[in-house]
Amino acid sequence: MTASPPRPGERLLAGYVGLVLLFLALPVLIVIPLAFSTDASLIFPPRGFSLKWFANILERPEFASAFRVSATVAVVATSISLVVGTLAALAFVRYRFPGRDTLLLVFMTPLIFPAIVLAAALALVLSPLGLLRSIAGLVCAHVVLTLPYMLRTAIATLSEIDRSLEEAAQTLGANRWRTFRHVTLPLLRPGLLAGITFSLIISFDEFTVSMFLVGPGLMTLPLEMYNYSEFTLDPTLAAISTILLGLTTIAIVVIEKLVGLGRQFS
Amino acid sequence: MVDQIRGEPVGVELTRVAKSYGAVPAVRGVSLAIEPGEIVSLLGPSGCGKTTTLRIVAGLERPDAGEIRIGRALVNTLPPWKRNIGMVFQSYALFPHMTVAENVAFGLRMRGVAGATMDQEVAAALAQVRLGGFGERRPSELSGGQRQRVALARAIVTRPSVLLLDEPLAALDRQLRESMQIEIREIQRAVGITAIFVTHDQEEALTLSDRVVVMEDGRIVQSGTPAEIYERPRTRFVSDFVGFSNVLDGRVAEGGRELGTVTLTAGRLVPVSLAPDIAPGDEVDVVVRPEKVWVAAAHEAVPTAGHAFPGTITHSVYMGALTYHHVAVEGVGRVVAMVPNVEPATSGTLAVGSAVLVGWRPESALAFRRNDPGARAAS
Repeated sequence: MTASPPRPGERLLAGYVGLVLLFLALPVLIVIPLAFSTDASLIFPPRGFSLKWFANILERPEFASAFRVSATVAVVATSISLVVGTLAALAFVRYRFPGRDTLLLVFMTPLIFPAIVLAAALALVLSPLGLLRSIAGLVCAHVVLTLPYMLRTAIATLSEIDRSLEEAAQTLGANRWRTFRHVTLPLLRPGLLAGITFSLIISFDEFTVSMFLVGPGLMTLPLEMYNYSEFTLDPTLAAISTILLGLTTIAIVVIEKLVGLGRQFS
Repeated sequence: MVDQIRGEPVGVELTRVAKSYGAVPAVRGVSLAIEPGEIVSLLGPSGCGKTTTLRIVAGLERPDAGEIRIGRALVNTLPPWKRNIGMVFQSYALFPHMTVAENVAFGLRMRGVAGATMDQEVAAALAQVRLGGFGERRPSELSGGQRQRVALARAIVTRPSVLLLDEPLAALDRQLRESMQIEIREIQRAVGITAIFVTHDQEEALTLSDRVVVMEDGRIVQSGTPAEIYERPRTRFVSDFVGFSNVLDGRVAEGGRELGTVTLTAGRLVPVSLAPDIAPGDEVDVVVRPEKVWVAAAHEAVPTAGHAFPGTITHSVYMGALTYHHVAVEGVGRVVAMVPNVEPATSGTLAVGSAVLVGWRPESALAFRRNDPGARAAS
């Protein structure tokens, strides 16, 4: 980098980029000071510092229960997506079979379809199966939603792995399973970790589809927060958001340190 | 499993092996017997089926027809991991997530060798390829030549029955390639292992092999010692593929036995050695290697009796150890002669423009039927 003074055009560009970043981040960042506010209404800037809204979360068991539901669904759905996505990626990258392109498109449709269509469809399918208002039903739906992310990162990583590495392992005495275990999987790990992160976030955050599947006694955290906001709009929501923001940030930083998340978007 | 006594080399035998990809045949009926301890090269242009043949021996491709034996065992249906082979890939295929030592140890681990024995064998293999002390490095920290040597160490540490090398030196620069050729040869001899390697580089095939197998279009066209392949190519394709040659076109005047004469299109009658199946009247190409052509100043004594054609040097390419003289020969055409610089090249007896005599022994001029499918591709 040269240290020459920026030209007017560069300054303009820097200003523009700064504004865009501010626009993207501001609503999220404003939540944090609100969470520590003393006011019962959402006033910015807050007039004092308190932790009472965090305490309020603990006093309301429905939040803890909704968090448990969301976390359970996210972890179980992600685990299923991980296995299914990895196996599907192996098939898509390693083999050429009739209908391959069509099938890949089918796997990817949840990314393109309007969420509301998917929500209605899933409700109609899960209802006769008796899976409405059940954890199992939510998990089924979330597998559909998270699979494309898992599949995409797994396919991207797998395509980068030189086939001759697996062949080399085989000539050295490793059977298919040991080749996968000792060569393919370690090389696939960064991509899978990124896929897991996306999948957990997508599932935990999901709103539209879950709304059709939940009911009294079974709420996900985003829906519980929405319900709460219909009656009371106080900084409790900001406090929950701040916690979620913190958890997400930690997850992304850890993954970035481990494998470099940025690569997944290139 | 392929039965094998450690250190005892075994042979490899292919019988009428064929393999197609869809409708495209890659290997069309290859039969080849490789002696225990022999190092054989499969030589040919890209797409000739040499790599597919090697991969069939490795078990990485399944043949459509034919038999493959390693030692006495029929291995057709045996997967690669049960064939007890060692393979060096063109891209080296070193595991990027493992250190050099872990790479070399991989085959041993798969065979259940562990602990101190494993460490010892890894160290010995690395020492053999002169990479002692490199064990803790990552493949990404090594140069091309070093990676190549790690790949070789990884392939031989398990003492496989057969060592397979797929264009092992293609990615290296010329100097490194030449020193690696010698190194591979020495290691192969020291380990006493049967080896098959694939190359498109004729020089590499000649220097590295006990036997060269030339392939074209999925078939073996000639198999023999490097000298046989070079001196007595059976087809025009082999002749063109292995080394540069003068090509003179003409018609057979006298034939029916091994030596004959050809009337060149340019006019002159020249003595030649005829490929089998060629009869008088056939259109032929006469192929003469530059080093088989002698050149003498016109006033000097002719080295061998008979056939000497007068000509003029039109152009000389000085290469240090030798010089290529381009001679315009009346009734023959342009003939390139390679002359070792025994005398200082500056002495000037063979200067551009000087009148000279050129000639060759009849057995050095090989006549092949014209339109032999082999193109005049490589030099």
